[in-house]
Amino acid sequence: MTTASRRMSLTPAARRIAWAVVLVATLVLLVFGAGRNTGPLTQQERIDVITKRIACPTCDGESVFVSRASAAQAIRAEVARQVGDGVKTDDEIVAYVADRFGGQVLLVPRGSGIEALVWVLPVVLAVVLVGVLIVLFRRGNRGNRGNRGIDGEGGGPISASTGTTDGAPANRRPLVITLAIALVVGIGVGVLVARQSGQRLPLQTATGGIEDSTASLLAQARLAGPTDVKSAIDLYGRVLETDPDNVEALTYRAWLIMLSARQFDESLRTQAYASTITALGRAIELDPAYPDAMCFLGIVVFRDGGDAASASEFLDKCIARQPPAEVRGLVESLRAEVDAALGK
Amino acid sequence: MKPARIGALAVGFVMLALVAVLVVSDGDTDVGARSPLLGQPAPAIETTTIDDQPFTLARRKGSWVVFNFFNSTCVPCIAEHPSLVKFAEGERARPGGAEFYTVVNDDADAAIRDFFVANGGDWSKLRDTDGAIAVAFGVAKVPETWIIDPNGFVRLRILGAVTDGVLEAQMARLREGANS
Amino acid sequence: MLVASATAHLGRAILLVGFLAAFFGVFAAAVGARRNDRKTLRLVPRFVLLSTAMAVAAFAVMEWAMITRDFSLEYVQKVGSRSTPPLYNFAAVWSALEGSILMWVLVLAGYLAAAAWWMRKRMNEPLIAWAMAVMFAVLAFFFLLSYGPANPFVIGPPGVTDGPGPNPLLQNHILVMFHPPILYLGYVGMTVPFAFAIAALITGKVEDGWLHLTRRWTVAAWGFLTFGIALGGWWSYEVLGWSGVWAWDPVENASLLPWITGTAYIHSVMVQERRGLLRVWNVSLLIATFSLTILGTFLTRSGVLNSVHAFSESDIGPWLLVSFGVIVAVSLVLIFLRGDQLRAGGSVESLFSREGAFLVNNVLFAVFAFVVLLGTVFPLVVEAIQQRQIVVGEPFFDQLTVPIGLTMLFIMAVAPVLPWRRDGSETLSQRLLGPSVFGLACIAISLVAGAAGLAPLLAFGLGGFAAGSALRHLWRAVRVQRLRGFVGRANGGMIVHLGVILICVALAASNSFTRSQEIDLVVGRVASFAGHTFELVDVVEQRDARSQSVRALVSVDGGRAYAPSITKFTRIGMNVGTPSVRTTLTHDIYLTLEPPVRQDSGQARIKVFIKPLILWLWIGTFVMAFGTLLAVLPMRRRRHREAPSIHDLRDEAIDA
Repeated sequence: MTTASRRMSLTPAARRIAWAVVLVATLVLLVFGAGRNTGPLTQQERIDVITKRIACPTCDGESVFVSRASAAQAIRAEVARQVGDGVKTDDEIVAYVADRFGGQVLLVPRGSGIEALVWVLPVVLAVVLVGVLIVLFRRGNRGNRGNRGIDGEGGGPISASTGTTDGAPANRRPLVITLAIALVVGIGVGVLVARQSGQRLPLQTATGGIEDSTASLLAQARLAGPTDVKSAIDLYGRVLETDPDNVEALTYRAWLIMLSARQFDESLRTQAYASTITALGRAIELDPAYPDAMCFLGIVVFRDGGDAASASEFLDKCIARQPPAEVRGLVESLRAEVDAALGK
Repeated sequence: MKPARIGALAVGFVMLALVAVLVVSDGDTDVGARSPLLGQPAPAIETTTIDDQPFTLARRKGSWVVFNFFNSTCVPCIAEHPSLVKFAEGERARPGGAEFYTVVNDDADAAIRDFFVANGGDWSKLRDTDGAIAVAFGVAKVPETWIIDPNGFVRLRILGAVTDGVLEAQMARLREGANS
Repeated sequence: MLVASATAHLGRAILLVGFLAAFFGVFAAAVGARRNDRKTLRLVPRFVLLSTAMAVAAFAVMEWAMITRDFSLEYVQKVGSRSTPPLYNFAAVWSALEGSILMWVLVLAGYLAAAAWWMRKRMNEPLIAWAMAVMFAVLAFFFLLSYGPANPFVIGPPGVTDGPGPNPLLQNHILVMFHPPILYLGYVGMTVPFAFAIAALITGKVEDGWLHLTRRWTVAAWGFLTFGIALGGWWSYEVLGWSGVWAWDPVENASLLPWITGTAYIHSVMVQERRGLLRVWNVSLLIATFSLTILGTFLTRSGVLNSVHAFSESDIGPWLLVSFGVIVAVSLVLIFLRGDQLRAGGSVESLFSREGAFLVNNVLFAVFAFVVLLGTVFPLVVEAIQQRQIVVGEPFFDQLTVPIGLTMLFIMAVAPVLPWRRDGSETLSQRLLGPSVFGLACIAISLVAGAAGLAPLLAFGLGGFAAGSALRHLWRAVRVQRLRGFVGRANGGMIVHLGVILICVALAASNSFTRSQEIDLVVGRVASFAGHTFELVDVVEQRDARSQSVRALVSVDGGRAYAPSITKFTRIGMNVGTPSVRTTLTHDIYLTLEPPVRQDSGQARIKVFIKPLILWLWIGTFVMAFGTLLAVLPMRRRRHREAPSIHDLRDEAIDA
């Protein structure tokens, strides 16, 4: 049209140069811009990024960032707390929540296993469709045809008005080959996308949820306690290596040492008694409200020290601190004996 | 066959598969619900009661501990309360009984006090500021009841309201399992 | 008691009559069409009248019960309340399942009546009659739903004198009045072209007459759907308080899916009108659009997304699922049978022609719909297979739809300059140079303004590219036709594209460059963030019958005070936070009040979001609405409504 040529009267060569300039300039600007920092700048923005990765446990797929439910609010508060502490990474904070609420609060589907399908299938579909389009139009893209190209069926290369079906079987093969290639390529790219974008956090962290190794050691020690006293003592010892003021470890290690020493001869028993009293005394000093230490002190003073009066005093203090059931049971069964010894 | 028909068949098959998937549904009938914490050491909880007494969960090792997450306006919580009272009293009466605690979820101290004055139940009620305890256990909706064994391991999680005898039966089962 | 049960029985009786009218209307229309029996066909308008009257009456009875606070009905007990203001009470009817199905019936009956009136002179044609039959069938189905599983006229337990009212989130903003009805005008409106498509398949008249008939209906329904979705985004922004417009949750996805296939359809249909190609695509897209409205309703109303188990316990779920299956099955069978007739006499020659671009567009939108559908439905599939719950949320959708959106912008730029019927790769380089420079300029400007990140920059660049292309088209049209250069399908479409570009650019900016900070404010001290100052003026408490609220008056930049608040609805025990927004052309300052709020402490913790370009989302929406209006306006009065006029063709030939 004359209007067109009047407006933009560039020669083809000039046009090519102009396009080259535009494309190069665009590329430069994009690279420059892509390199700029886009991460969170404030603490709140970091909290927002993290909460966008966690699903609200009582909603339909809303993230904790979006949801106004009370569970979401509680999780937001927890995330804010941990971000404020500044110790954990984003992944660790998300893992903390996932370890409590289960994997279903991970908002990003995994990149492996059956969940990866949600990434792979769309990519496969896109690649296959694009492949089909390319193949269909590669074979017939210059000038005249009637027996190639897409017709109203939106499907294969079936001739229409000319009615010719020449080489229809032969036409199928390139299409099938292309479909196969596209499928493979699609799956490959899809898996790449899944790996790249999918959830990388393991379903459960290595310790099975609770990362605090001290708590884990204490738990193991307690489990071992009655049957395998030696291992229990070792485990409590390990806790004390990293945390010398750990009241539970101090108390129970001392108690178990005393228990096992009772089976040996007098000299070992006296030694054990001394160290036990020291350890228990230290535990009480560190945490006066801790009932177990006071109770064990009372029991040991009576059983191994023979001092009924002090024992009675300690046991009274122990009961006042509301000991847990097992220890209370021990104390109560001892009470009568202590009273008898005191002549009550 | 013509590609369009293949396409149509494929779409139809996928749709039918979707329908079939939805028709297959299996109910869950266990009392206990799932949680990543089951069989793991309970989270470290340090808080205060609504009477400002300190509370540390780790210090309760040696007793069975029952946590009940509660809110005074939640209808199932109100409904299950009498069963909880019966259970707590039963446990208090026996030696080696479980310790029962209410964890207050998103509610005011005054409302809790009023509720318990009106409906009974004189065990400790624990404050949960900002829902930290709820998040530590993964509690999304009240009521939930958790049972922790004397070694500090989480043993049972019950979602929703309990009825009479449920907690007693579960405690008996767990105690037996511990002794065997 | 007698009066109360009278309302319920009256309502149900009306629904029953309506169902029967629609049910018999199916037969009247179908039998009359098949036998070409004029006498039978003359019954059709009567059935239309009757069923429409019943639909209106049923809705009126429900509204009457709501307005008069008739608590004998269980539905009124559920969503009615003496303390709800009248306007919100009126809207409460469609705030829960049963009432919304009733509204669906009303809107559908309205469309049926409008279609029947518009086609009144041609009722004897088989195509029209079959279309009426299909519409009657759908209407009958919804009447049946409303009579049976979704019955709003159930009598509730006696002695109830007040109710909780609708969800407090629905009482915050007048928008609640408009969002669902407009969305339904869109959703339900898609039934009309669907009915004509099925009629065309049944009668074998699959040439393009039915297309021309329904073109404006489809665009109008699409326009309502677009506007309804945008209103939903606006409500999310203004009311929910998380500062965003779209969360990819299942309810939103359910409304988006038919929009995607509907958009593909209104583009692809131009190829069929012009050259009779892509017929199977078009019929499939149209059927998909309608089916997705049913599937979407099923997904959101059956509870299946909470858990697969909830589905089998819900009343309405199985009905909707079965109807979806039936629609898909019937449509597939019809396409199967009519496959030969759907084949066109001609083909798409080249991917670089206008037809090729529309074909690529169809593929793109098919992938888009697939992504959204898969993401929404995937948790169900995994739960059914592995008995564990997963969630597919925003990160997934964002990740996959960004490349789709960018490709869409690219096609938007390229397609309008491509010629029909031939390979136009040569002309591309000539016509798109200007727009490409415009796109480059957009990237440069945004870099100067501080933008960063590949995806948003690409969005800005491609947006500029597409805008340049649309403006180029409009400019050339206006030069030739002056003011008429803005009217008509192609030109109106370009304006709609401009609206879409504004929305895409605004979304890219606000998703990528939002700044946020939590600030503890104390009365008398000034805090600053992101170049603005915030001063707490006062913390005010307010109490009324339904609620008590705490508002923090925050003066922004020393100017007027904005008041984010937290409202506790005492009867339900629900806390609702309401944001307060300061809007400017460049960015919004979005304030929310964070709990816990200590009264009388002179302190408040607020969260501040600086959200760039949000206003342009709404401006873009209005541009789209305006463009849609221009697109459906007739360019000149025509005698024959079937064929596109020479003027339509000329208007599209601007770039031929």
